Amino acid sequence: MSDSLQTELGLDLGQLRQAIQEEYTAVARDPGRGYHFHTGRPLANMLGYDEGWLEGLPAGSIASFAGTGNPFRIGLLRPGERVVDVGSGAGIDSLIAAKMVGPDGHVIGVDMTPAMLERARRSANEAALGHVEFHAGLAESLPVPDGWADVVISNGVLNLLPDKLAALQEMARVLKPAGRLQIGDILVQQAVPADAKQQIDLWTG
Amino acid sequence: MAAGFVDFEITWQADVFSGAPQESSAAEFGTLGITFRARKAADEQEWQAALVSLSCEVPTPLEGLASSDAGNNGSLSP
Repeated sequence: MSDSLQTELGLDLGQLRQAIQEEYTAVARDPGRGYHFHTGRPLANMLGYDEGWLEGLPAGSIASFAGTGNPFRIGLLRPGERVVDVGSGAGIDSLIAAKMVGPDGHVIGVDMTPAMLERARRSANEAALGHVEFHAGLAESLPVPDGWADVVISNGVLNLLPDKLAALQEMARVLKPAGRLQIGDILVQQAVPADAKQQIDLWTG
Repeated sequence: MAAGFVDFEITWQADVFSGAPQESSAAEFGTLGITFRARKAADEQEWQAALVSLSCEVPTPLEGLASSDAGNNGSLSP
């Protein structure tokens, strides 16, 4: 997809992605600044993350956590499973997944923001979790082979994508038959007018 | 469903934005944090069965209304 692609919503995809990267670069580097969403351990507690899941994970990744749901509340991951984390951010869900699947499993986190990838990779090293890797990529074109994953997780990412169907189709592509989708995201209770969908500030803030 | 998933279910929802340091510009649309799950169809047979279960006959007088209204029911933000 071209960065200058105009979406069907009349939105410049390149500008939107740049705005999202700027927002989440700030969350990676300055998580305590104060955003329109909660962050860090207080957010994890609010979303029902078990303290045991966070045990041993680097404080830096926990501080930059910015999810909107809890993919593990639906069901725990099993030892040996392969997991893809779409929009892995600071890496906290990928690292939790890596702990759950153990060394016989494998986790691939994908994110488009370099500062978040740097944070996540550093945390994986600090936590000595060698079976998790982080790759630069887009939700609409995941750098993962067909049918590779037992589970796809994601947290607070689909709402940032104008073409949600393309992202869901991509998640289906990388899943094995009968593979599981476990997603945290955002729901709006009132319809968003078409002109409002053209406001990049509304997507990012 | 169109992506090939079955057994879709929203399992949790809550206001996860109130009390945040800054007010969200999307708050007026009633944003909620959610958790949902689904499963990729095991095979073509299960996928086709899922599609059949969704299909229904639309009474003739309502056909025009049904098609002109399509696309206005999106629910994911924004």
